[in-house]
Amino acid sequence: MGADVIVIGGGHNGLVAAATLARAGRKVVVLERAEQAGGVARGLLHDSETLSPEVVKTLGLGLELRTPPPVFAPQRQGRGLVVGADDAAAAVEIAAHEVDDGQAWMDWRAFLGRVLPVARAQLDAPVPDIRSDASMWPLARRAMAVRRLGKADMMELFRVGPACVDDWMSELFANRLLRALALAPALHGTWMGPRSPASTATLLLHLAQAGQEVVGGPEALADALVEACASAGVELTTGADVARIRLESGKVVGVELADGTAVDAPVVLSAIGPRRTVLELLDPMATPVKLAAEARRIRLRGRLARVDLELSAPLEFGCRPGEVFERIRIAEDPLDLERAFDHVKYRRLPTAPPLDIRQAERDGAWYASVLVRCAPFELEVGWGEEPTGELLAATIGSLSRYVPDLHERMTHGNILSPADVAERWALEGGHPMHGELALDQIGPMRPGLSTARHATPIPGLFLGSAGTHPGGAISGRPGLLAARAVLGK
Amino acid sequence: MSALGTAGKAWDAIVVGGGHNGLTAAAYLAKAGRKVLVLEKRHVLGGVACSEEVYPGFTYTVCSYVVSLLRPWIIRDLNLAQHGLRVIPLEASFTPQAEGPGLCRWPDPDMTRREIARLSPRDANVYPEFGRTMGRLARFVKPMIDTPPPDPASLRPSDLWQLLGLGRRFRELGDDLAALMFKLTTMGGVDFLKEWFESDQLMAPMSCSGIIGTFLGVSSPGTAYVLLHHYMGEIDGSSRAWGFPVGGTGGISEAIGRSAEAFGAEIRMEAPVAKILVNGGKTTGVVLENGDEIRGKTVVSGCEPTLTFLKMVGADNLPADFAGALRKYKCRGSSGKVNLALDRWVDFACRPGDGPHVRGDVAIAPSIDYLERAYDDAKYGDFSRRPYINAVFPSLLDRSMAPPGKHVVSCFVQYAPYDITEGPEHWPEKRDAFGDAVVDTLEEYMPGLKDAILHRQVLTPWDMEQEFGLTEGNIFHGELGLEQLMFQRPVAGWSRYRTPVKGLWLAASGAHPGGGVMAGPGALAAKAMLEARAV
Repeated sequence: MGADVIVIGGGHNGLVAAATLARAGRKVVVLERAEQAGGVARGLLHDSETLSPEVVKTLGLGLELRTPPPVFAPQRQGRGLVVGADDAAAAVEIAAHEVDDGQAWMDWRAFLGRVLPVARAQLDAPVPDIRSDASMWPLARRAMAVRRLGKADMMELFRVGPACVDDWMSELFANRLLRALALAPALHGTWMGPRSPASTATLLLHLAQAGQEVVGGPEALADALVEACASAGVELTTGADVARIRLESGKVVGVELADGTAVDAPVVLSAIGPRRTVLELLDPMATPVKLAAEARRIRLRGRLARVDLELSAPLEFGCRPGEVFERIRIAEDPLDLERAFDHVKYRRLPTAPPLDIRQAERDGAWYASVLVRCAPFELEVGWGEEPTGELLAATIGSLSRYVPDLHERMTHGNILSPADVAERWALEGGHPMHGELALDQIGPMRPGLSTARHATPIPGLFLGSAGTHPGGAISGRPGLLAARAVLGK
Repeated sequence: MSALGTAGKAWDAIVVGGGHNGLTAAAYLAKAGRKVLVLEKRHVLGGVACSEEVYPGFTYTVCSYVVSLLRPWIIRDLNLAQHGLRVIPLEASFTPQAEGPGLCRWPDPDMTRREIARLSPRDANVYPEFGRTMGRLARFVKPMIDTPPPDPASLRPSDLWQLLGLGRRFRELGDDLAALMFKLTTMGGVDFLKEWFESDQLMAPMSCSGIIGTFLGVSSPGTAYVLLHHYMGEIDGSSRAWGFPVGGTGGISEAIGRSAEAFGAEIRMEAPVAKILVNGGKTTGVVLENGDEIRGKTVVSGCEPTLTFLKMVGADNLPADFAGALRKYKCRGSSGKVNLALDRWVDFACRPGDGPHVRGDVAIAPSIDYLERAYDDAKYGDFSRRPYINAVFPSLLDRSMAPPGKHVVSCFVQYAPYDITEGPEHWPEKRDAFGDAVVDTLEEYMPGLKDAILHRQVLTPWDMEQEFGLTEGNIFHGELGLEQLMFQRPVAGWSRYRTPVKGLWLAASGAHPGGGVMAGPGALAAKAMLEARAV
């Protein structure tokens, strides 16, 4: 068995990379451990709004895209808040809580409208080469792009970027519910709370990637990518667990599967976690010391659990009877999110976890997926049956404070603890991005200084999962950039 | 003294505030032949760098208590040694533990190695390498604290050149050090240390340097950078040492004050400034609280920026964007100070005696989680029930601080947030409870301490604001977050000591390079003024 390129891992980034390479005429084999390709797009993450439009265009994906539905933040007392992509409508809703916040929201969105395109341009391109043998010119060019923002916006970015997102939101908005709603995405994929410095930067990172979502959600995207691979001639093998990357005289010659099967190719693009790729799939004796050291230092403390609810009727919230919302975020105050992070910090179970919910109707029944982003993978007592059950109870408890008749509507509840998440999707540390988002783990430091441009010091080995630049949830950018690195673009 | 005394005299520069930075600026200006008047609010010189006999026979280093970053070139320029500055190097850094002998880090690498080996042989091997690496990074950073900051918004060739030079120097570090430097400025102290070490008991006291004066926890991103300060300090040219000034930190201020006076500056005590006068965008002098006016074309503020601009100058006299930016300037105090007079020496249970292990600083920082919990209390609006304490026993180092056989203890305590849930004005009601929490915590390590206490002084952030003019009790005149350092200190575009009010200059910790009894802002501001021929 042989190919031009082997892609390890059929997650969304692996599929994007494979389809891109195949469309450029390469013979590509994708080796996926699970029985179905798609990775975290199948059954773990439920939002697809960070999908890169560039990926859709490059691969000609026949997807239906739409503006994501508004997010509803319920309250125990009060009407809650519905904020969607329509800024003017959001401002009206927001002003009903706090008059001045309405205009502040418009101003903030306008600021984002100016700065996010600049950030997005950085995310759609490989990181500049900042190592000492490179020229200063590309760096200077990037710097000029930031300067073109104008002095006021640039200085504002410098000022808020390193600060904590709670401080930024407090400067902007009086209403605490709005603050919690607006800042929540800052914490995705991080080991931070809203009081952690640099959480503003991770919020901007998320917002820069956010746009339209896929109708049908991440699963529809996974299906489309599998189809794009097939029509481009990619050979997709599922149930293929790669045990090691084979090297000869320091160069990649292929991989070996757990069952001993060898697959040959001069190029291997690993779309699984960079840490695992380097430390587990490479022969330690043949791994450059620096590469191994960089990989060992990647922090990936997961905190994600998922609860799936089957419902006889959609979740209905006490503060808005009769209305049905597709996206719901439960956290009334930034400090609720901070307290939730405290539990993560001390490696213990959350008591009243904030929740990130999506619900949809399928064949007459309603399903809600609930992401709990404050369940530490490194739980002090370890993840057994008992803490998993407690987490499920805490999650349902959190939700039932807002959905009074939850127990009557719920026909079934299932939980995936962080340990289950780690096992099912083969995610080290239970981390869906293979590496925390933090200032020292993004851009030229993601996953490490010597691998940030997707190539590695080992000839023929490339990295292309969410653990590489620019990271993020379901975006496909890392896969696309890695494929381009293979093609030498 | 009234306006009479100044009637005939024309001052080239009026310095508001006789803290160490104001005095440093005054000394440099006087040295250059300018006529300088320093106005100090209190009866003691030094601002927060002061020593006072609060309880008869016992001298407290009331606020700041150790010195490390006082720039050696300033000591030379101002002949401070000649004016009585003596610094005693701290011999050790001791962290007591409830069980076992605790951890002591010594100037002697072999002794330190043996101590750490008890916790982790691996860490003992890594520790010297860590020190060497940090030393190299410190050498990279040092020039930055000794020069005005670069300005990335400026398009002036000289500024661009400075930025380019900085970039080039960064690259010359090489990949590994450059990556480390980047990590240092962005990572949490604990995360950074975990890349090197495994022992919680070692990392806990090491990570504390990153939180001093901040409203952050030891794991919060951005706290790693301050680890470098430990490797940046210089005393008498020997790097990486902390020291205790003879006579307390007031000893520094008095030496700088004497130097300023020797160069011809006049220092006036108990002369609190109420207003900085502004007319048509220019300063015309100051008004004292007693109504006296002192006229001058140049005023140098050694006070905290929001106090200087929003209170003394007034927002009406400032450009709106500048005043707006100052209102966003983060200045949350997070620490308190407890000073104790002891009737006798009290042993640490885990390592008795008043030997060299307590002749340095003692950190109550038993574990990383302990420190995080202390931070959590503050996050939600209360002082830490079990705080991080950095204690120094000045009487062991300088016998003149207490009567024979008696002792003083200086405790820096974190966290004590200015904004407690009840509101900062309710701090006086909580002062005693806060003092109790500190003494109770110490008692756990020093049994019998309570019985030996003759007198206790408790300074909350509220007290520091009221008494010392530290807005919100922030000891550094503004938080040392990345977003408030370098070209953004105190406000982007105004980081070079000049202010939007013509003739008014800022020369205190709220300006680059910030706090830490460095005297850098005072010296750099005076140099900038002289260079610009502004005085």
